[in-house]
Amino acid sequence: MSLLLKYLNLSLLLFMPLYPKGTIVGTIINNHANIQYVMNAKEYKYSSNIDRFVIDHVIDLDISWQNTAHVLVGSGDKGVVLTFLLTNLGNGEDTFTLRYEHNDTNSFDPPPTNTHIYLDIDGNSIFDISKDTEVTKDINITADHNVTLFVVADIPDTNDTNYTDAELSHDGISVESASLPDDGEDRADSVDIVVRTGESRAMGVYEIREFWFDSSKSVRAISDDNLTHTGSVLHYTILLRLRGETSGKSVDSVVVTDAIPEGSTYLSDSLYLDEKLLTDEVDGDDGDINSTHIRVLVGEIAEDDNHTVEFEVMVD
Amino acid sequence: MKRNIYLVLIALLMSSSLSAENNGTVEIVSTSYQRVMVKDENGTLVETWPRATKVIPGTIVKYTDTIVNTTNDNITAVKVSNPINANLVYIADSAISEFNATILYSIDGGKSFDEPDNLKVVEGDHNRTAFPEEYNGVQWSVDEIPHDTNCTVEFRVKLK
Repeated sequence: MSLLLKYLNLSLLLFMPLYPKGTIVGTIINNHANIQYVMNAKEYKYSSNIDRFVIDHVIDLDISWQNTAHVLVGSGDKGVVLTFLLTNLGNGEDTFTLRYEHNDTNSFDPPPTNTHIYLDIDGNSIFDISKDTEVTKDINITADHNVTLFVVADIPDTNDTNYTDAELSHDGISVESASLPDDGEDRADSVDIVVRTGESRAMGVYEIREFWFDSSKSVRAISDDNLTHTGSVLHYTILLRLRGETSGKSVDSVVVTDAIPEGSTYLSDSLYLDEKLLTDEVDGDDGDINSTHIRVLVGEIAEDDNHTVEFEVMVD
Repeated sequence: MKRNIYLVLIALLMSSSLSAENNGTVEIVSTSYQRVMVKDENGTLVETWPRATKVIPGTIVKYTDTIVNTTNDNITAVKVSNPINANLVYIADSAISEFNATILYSIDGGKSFDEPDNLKVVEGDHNRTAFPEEYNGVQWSVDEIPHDTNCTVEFRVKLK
């Protein structure tokens, strides 16, 4: 059902009128004149021949980056999004081939990875991976309509060894009309194709943030055989820190909430913040648990702080 | 076979290129041309007007209506009207005539024609004078076209 709705939405999106522009390809424009006159006191009325011409197919497109500023990213960020608008400015439905583009000569290193192009299905210009669909083939756009596209990428986790503040990566989409005529194509008996813009490219910009908050989670099994099985104890460690150019920087009111893994049971009195035992109850200290989550109030994290939250569970 | 001959005769009688007069005919021929800018030998852009057969949006199109009077008689009280297709936009002051003519315009699809100042459209709670882009018909009135004479009227439009 949701798949059906998704395609219905796609149809609606692609047929939403943008603005009327350009007589549609293939339209026949007829013209005739009428005459009336008097000759020898007698009135006559006639119509002329019908003159006609046909409307050729104009290929025209525009793609533009929509973000109003550089998209700030940090090492290890997942699914960072650049937004683009592709408009069919031609006078007929057209098919477009999309390709991800990266400017190798003007990029932070290593560049963004795991790059994909998504089509905005619900037309809200906001990327939602649960609704929007990845572009894996050519897309059709009717005349004078547009679609929103997203470039979605991951920023490699370099452990701060490569990136510096304000470094840029230029990434975007190239688009080419699939209706471009072949060289020497003879279309004398049909409409001609007139290319205003048959291909174009738009680039957006990722910019390395000055600093960013980073959390990472790891787990190790505590058992005699180092294997995980019923009765094994799993020790979770969540590391919290600032990364990037952190000098003089801090973040406040940090709260860690983490789910107790399904198929396990929290071990009483195993919740720690920076190696300090926290009580399990809601009693005024910085931690508590319920049946599904642990919660720890970490507070401020300053430039060189490393905070750790630890807890243990037993595999059911 | 006989029925087909009758049909052909009826078609000929209704044809735009034939009149009921003896000694020649009165014809009206409509032709379209499109404006194409080309460079001459000096590299200067010049306007050319080839026949319009395939046209792209935005093109300026010129229509000519030529009245060909090959009879032995003058024709008088000549009125030529030309509706404007909804995909075309009339270009202001482009209607002209080879002979002296009164030129009127229509905003009701050719049911009536009038001077520009008398063409009113309703906008909100008042009427305003129609813009030339809103005209959907042109009419030329020529007092007389002598025998054995052609008279051409024309107007220009822009393809939406």
